[in-house]
Amino acid sequence: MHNLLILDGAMGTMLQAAGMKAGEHPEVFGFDNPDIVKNIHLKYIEAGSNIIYANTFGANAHKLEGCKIDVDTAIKNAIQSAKEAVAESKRDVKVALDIGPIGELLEPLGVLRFEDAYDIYKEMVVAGEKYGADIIVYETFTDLYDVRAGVLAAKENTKLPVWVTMTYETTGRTFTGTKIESMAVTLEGLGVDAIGFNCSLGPKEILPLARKLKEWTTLPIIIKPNAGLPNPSTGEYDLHAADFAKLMAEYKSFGISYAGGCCGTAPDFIKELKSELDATEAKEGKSVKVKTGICSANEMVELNGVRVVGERLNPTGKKRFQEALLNHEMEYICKVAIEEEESGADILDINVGVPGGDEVALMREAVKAVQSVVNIPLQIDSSNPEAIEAGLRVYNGRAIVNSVNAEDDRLDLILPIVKKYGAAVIGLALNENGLPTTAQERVDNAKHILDRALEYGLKKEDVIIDCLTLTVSAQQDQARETLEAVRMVTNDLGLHTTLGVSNISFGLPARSHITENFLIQAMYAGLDLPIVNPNIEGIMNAIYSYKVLSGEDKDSVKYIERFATVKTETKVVTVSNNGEVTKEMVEDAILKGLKEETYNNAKKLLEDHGELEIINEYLIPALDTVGDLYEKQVIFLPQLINAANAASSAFELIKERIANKGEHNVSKGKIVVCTVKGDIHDIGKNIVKVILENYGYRMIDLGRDVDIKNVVDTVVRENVKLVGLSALMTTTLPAMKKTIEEIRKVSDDCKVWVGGAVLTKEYADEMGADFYAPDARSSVDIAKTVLG
Amino acid sequence: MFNIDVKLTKEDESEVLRYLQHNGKDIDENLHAQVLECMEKINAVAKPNFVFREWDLEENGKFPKELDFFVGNSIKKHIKDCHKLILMAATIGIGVDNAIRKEELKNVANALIMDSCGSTLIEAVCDSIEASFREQYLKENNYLTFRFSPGYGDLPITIQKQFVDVVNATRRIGVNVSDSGIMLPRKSVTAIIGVSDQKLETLKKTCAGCNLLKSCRYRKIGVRCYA
Repeated sequence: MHNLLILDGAMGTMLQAAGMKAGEHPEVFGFDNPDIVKNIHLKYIEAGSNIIYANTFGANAHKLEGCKIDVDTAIKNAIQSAKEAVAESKRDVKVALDIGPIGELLEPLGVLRFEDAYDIYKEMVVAGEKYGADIIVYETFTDLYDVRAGVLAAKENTKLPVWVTMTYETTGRTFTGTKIESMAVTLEGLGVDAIGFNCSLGPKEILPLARKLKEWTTLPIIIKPNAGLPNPSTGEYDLHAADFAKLMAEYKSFGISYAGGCCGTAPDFIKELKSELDATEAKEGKSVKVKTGICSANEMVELNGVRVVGERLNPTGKKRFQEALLNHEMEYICKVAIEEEESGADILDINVGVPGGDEVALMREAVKAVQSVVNIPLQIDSSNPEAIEAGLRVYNGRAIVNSVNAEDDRLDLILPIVKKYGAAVIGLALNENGLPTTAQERVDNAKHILDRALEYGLKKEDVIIDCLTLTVSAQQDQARETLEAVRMVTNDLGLHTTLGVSNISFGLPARSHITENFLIQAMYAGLDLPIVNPNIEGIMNAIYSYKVLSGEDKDSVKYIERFATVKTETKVVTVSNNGEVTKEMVEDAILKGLKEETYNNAKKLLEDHGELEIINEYLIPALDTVGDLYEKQVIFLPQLINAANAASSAFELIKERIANKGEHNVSKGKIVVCTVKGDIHDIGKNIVKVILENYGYRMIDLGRDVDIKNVVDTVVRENVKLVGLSALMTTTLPAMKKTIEEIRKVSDDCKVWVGGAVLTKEYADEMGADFYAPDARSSVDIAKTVLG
Repeated sequence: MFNIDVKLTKEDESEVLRYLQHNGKDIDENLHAQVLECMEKINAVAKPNFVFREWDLEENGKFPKELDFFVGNSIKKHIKDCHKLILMAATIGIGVDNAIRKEELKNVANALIMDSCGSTLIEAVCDSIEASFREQYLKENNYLTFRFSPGYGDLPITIQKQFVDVVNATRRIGVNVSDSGIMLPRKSVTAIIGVSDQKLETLKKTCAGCNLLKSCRYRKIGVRCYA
């Protein structure tokens, strides 16, 4: 136990008071005026700071771009100023390398890649350690993903302690939605040494947030608030030094380890703070039991009841899913993920192992894509340690690893990775001797896994045991053994358990009966993480019912919610001769944007028509009609897209058929589309994509803010003959022009069309585009002209 | 004083359709329902927030030094008879971006409509803020210009970053600016309002004053981006 330590107050406002101009870089100002910075540090030290933050908040490569000093120089200089102040004061004061956000939002909110953020922070922390910083402090972060990149950079490239303080709203979320509990669990998992809050609010407003944080972490807590709230009109803060200190005294009651001030606080604040908090013991409840769970940045799933793990993000036995992975069609995978979340999954298992696919790269890609559209946490499913690490590395939260088994070789390979990223882990209750046949053998394996996990520094609650579902039609006696093992692992070892439930009924008719019955018995035995298909109503009904009977669903609230609202959608029934689907019917359904009906029409047609015939004779003519109506302004854009959506439900079915036949997909040619470098507006581009896809073109969507090199490389690699570029900003038109120029250098016959709000025919001609598309529909004509 | 808890209602439908470049023809029931549904989706995730600061103009009507990034003739003309400036930044939050991104995968038509709903909502929030300022200043017999934003007239969009910095909008309300001047969350607005003790005449936006005059997607179909 040590006493609470005092940090410093604001640097920026002190620099401004000392003559720094608005818009000037504090690091550049500090470089030019090292004595000013040193004197500010000295004032804080004299006021009582035990730890001072060097003037390096914005000393990153992004913010210093175009400045006269580079990152290394800025950090060297700032740390030197701080150290000189410490030397002059002759006190025992530590110097922290202070790191703020880069100033660009990370994907998917912005365009900065996680890996690039890591590199930017790496440069800073390496310099910080080199020039003698004692601690690395990340502060004022609002995006957990951003600070994760920083923490990894610090942990992997330095030996210094790493602290993190984030900036919250009174709602208990950051501007990007990060929850306090997610911050706590994720960062503690990554091995951060102290966490807390700074900026945005005053001590009074942060207090309830700090109490919440305390429930979720055993780490030392840092509190560095603003001097109250700012006057909206002038930007001045409303607390005086003495009031600030009084409010900070409230924190004594539950114990924090570090206290200081942020915006609006000055040395007098620190002086008052010191006298108010001096000799307060820092309570760091290492032994205290705190809450934990599996989480994304925005959602925490506590493991204190049955939690549904969705199984559908898995290519095994699914041709269409395999094809999507091999073609990097992340949209397809994301759609499956969204469906699972909407069906009530709490956690999503994600497996990308497919013959011919690069599992490591695919895991990275898929985790990034899926976490950008679902809130629920992920379970990284692979036996390849590199793929596991790739997934965990880019995962913004605390994931489960599925899985390791009781073989020591495997444990030694996987557990260090699990520990490094602070994940939970599933241990399969089998070892090198193969599948166990009794419950006791399974429990013994579980025990071994637990022991080894504890050796590696994992906690007991991080270990989940898979008691192995075997197929009851083949090994009938094993069902009982599995259930008994679940009971023993739950009761005797006190661990969470998981099962791939549906495997039980393989090979039997009417599988759902067996699966559901087994699921219910297993939950009764203690199974709390069933891996199931949440889209199967019966499965979810069984789980909702079980939660009522087990008492988990208090007052049956969730059960009632699920079943009280009976869906009353009326199905459109189309009457026709002999139940035959006519061209008129297809067209009518598409025109009205009726997805389900279009899907059913296609299904019916597939009974006695070829896939290509349906596309060319039914779907495309219908889409042409819709396009004509759009051109004549009879319908407008949303209706055009609704029609395209309806048609795509039929296309998806046809694609699936073709994939299952093992044939390659029909394609009238490849088209690359993207939003150009610097621009992030992509709805227009996505609309064009959806519409063109329905005409049978294979769309290669490079996304938004796309590097010119990426476009050019794709054109060459895929031998693409048509590229569509989108831009919505006058500021990004030059990037469009440049992209066209670069395409010309590598291809004589690749045509380029451009579109987007600020474009005109004149601009398009000027930048050398082959075509200009004033709207989404005209892209179809362009594609037909170029590719047929 | 400021009511920013603004929600989209049925009355906003025509505005949403206008952003979709609808030409005023009747729309069918399905589309009505779709628009209302999208409004609700945006209402559910929007978190309006704003920040502002006020500055006195210098004696000669020039910008104070801190605001010297306001360049060009349009803004000069806009605040010609003013003695004071209100700089504001408003947003409806990153939740809207997330919801639209997700919807793009499920249903691009909905995503497009939701995007328009977001635009409508942020403007409504700004209208509400502006109305409060107007009311408050009228008590002192002061009058306000309309909201003037970077990108309008010859005021370059590239000042967006400095604008956001000077009102501290990144820390205070979570508004970020990309290198190409795009604000994130996407449905965010920065605007400058002039305060004058004279009744102002040029209070309306005009197409002629806009630098998108030649390429405007609204004008192409005969409508305007403002009511």
